[in-house]
Amino acid sequence: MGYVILGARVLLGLIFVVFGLNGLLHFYNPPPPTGDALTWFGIMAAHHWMNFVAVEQLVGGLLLLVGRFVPLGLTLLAPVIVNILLYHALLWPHGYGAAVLVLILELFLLAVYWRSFAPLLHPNPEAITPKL
Amino acid sequence: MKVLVLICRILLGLGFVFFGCAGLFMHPQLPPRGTAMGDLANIFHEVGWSGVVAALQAIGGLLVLFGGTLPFGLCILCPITVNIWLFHLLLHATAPQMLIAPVLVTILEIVLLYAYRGSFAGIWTTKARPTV
Repeated sequence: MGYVILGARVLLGLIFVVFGLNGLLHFYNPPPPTGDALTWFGIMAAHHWMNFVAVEQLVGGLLLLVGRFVPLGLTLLAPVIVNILLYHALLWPHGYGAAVLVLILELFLLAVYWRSFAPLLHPNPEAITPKL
Repeated sequence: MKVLVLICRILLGLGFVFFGCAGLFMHPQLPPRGTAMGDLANIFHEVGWSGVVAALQAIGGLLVLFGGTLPFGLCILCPITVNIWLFHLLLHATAPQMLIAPVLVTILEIVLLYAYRGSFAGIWTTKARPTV
């Protein structure tokens, strides 16, 4: 099981390091979408919104690869993955294989690192923070 | 201090429930297409992306209002707040008074993140181990 967890962590980290670097350096340009998706993507790129997403992907991916701050890396990548899925579900229903793969890897890692996230759902959160 | 946290909770929760319900049930005044902000707002509205965000705002606000689910509610609202900031700052098409709400929301979230820091401690640890 240890090797499966390590493999999932390294794979998810590598995917987002590559995606993040590509978002900043553009060494591979996938075929562009059409219609509203193209308009949307053009605006997001022209106003550097995509650069912010790329930096977040890169930082999240590196944290997973390095192995320190794995829960923080998963926390940074989770909203990015949600938005990638929304993009494919609502705007561009093609080429979502990678999106499904990162969703599965993220959910698997959230599950095996659940000890770090369980306090978020503690039924009495006041009890686990020292009094101010 | 307890009263301050309670006030922050109610303000943040009610604010997001209000904005979420407004986004879900009221017909919005969208800027015309032709500008970056107009195109983006119209696309988001037409494909239903703003509906998803509005629903998540309402759910996050309710989770912050109910006792015991506040940290999970913040997990939903914080990424939305980041994107609200990016929308205002990167498309720089909004008047300065439009930033009052994001500034207020951000202050409330930081106070609550600190007041409930015990719930988020697991995310910041450097030596997280898989549970299984």
